[in-house]
Amino acid sequence: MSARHLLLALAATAALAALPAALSAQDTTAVPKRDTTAVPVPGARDTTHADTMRGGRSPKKHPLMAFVQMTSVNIFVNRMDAWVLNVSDPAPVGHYGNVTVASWGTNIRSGWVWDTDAFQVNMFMHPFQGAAYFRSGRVNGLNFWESTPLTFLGSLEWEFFGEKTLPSLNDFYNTGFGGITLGEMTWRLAPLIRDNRARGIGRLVRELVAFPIDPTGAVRRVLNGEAWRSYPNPRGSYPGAFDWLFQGGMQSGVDSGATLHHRTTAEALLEMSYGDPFVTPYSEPFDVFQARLRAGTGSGGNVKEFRVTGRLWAHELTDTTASTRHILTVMQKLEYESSPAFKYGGQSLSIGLVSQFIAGGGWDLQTSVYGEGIMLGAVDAPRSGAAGTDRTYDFGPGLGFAVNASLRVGGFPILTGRWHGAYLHSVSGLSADTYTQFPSIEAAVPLTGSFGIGAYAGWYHRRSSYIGLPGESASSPEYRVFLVLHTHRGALSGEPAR
Amino acid sequence: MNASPLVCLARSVPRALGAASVLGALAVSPAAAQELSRPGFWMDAGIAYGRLRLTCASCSSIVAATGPAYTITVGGAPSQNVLLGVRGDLWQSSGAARQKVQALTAIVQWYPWPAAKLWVRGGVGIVQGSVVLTADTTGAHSTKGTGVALTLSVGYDFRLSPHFALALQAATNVAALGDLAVGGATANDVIAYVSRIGLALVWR
Repeated sequence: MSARHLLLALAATAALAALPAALSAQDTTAVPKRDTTAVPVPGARDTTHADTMRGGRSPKKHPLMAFVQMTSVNIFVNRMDAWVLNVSDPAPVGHYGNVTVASWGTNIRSGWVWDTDAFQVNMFMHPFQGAAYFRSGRVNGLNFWESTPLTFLGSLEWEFFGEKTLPSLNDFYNTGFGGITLGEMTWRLAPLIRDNRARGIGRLVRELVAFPIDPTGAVRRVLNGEAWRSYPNPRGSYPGAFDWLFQGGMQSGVDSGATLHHRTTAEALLEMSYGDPFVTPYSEPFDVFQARLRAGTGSGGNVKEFRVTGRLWAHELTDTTASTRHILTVMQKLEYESSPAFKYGGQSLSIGLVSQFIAGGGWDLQTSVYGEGIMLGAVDAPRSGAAGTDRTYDFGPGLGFAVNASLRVGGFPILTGRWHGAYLHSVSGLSADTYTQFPSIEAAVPLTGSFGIGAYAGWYHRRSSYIGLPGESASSPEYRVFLVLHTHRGALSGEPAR
Repeated sequence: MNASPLVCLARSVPRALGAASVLGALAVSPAAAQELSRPGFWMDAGIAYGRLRLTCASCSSIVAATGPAYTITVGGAPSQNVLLGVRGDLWQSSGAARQKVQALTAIVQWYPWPAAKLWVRGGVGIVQGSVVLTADTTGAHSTKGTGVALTLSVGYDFRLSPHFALALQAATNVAALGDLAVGGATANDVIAYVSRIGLALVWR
């Protein structure tokens, strides 16, 4: 399956949402009831769907409808592949969307394999399909934890019955875990974009922008008339803080290939922080998350970095009013790095300590130290991958750590250090143990309250050891200069403390 | 060489049923028909009949063996319909060539309907396997590997009391062990499947 085909198929899944939504369009119990007593709050957005347990009554759960919707995702993607895109794999698979009872039997008898798709397809694209499964649960009233099995069931159904290719274990991991991460993230973001009180072109633009983020919810809103009806945005669901950070500049890094020469490329980075661990008290999974997307020119694909970390659980260890605070936190992380010189990605769970040290005068230091359990990671090396295929990397579970520190003034990050290390034991590809580490430092000078200029330096190092073969290692430095724009939105007036 | 499935069942299931009956009898109450209370801590311990199937990219045959499987799970309940936990699994062949697959997984168990006794469970973790592989060139050899574990199961709770249940469960455990050395050759992408059907005593 090529990236283009998968992308097109995923885009088309938007329409599939119409099927179950249309079936249940009259089923008003499926839509969370709005708290009509709520007072409209300036700036607040409809995040009723983002948190089914907050800001009013819980919606009725429809697990069967969720399952039907999840299955309709697979049927729609399969039919798009077969009828519209007419995609095919090399023989003997051929048109993989043309599934038959015989192909189902073959898949069940053969069992799991590790596929040979390109890094971008496996580690970046598949989580988006999983997000559609996850939202099938959310849109039908299931909470975060109740929607997680649905993500895996959807992936399982697709792997065995949705395509002729043998079921892929790596797809199951990445679609499942990545789908949860992206599904909950987009589920929470879409209502922040929509504004039930807006009218005219502004309302249309908001609804359209939210569509690719939450196609299922968008179709449901159209069918229920919520997309154009004016009614108050419910209160009580704004995460307490919302930050954007945008960087645009040039990067110099080692390119892939034998010459290892430095190449300069244009880069743009977008980082979004939903909630703040020190502002948003823990209430449920992903009430705080951060997404980071870096894109650029040059080889290795345009998406260079994509990382989403969502808070699953937290416990405050200190007084919330103290100048020094520590919060024990469990995070879920989706990680994708595809620079010209190296590839690294994975799905992991982390546990660690998030700390804040307030120095006064608007200055503070935020740190985090995490230990990671990498459920399935992927890393490239000269001996990795499968010859003659798109796969240039190996899969494996592992352990890791992440240390971050950010010195800020007025919320603007002045100096940020990061250090990520990982150990992966390859279970597909050449038997190998791979150690990676990636320390980096970033400095920025604010020229105004939100605008500044900065520089970054990072160094990726990988060491691989093999059974019966000599080990090898590689290092890849990279540097960036950029302009930075940082916006911070704190607690809204009139919004109740959470 | 291996004991038949019936022999395994004869050995393992009565023991599990016996233990469950004793504990169930101790715990049984007039409120046995009530739902299990789900919030907070929970655990289960089970025994099952398990069948191992091995596949690899360069093996000449798919090898199968049978034997008893043991599980223990502990965890908490983040919501009424969902349980989270950590599970330890051990499967051992009952034949002369001892094979063993042991896994530690983080699991999510979901009851789709609020009053449901039917559940599905999935989990991932790490696994270690000592298995006998038959490579194309070197014949059968015992080998050992560590890899990723995936578990999928479906079950039904027969409630004995507000806090105890007997769960009938069927599961498949997937152990991706990677490339393993087999008598000087290499078996690529070895995957072991342990299919289990058994009983577990559940306490919540």
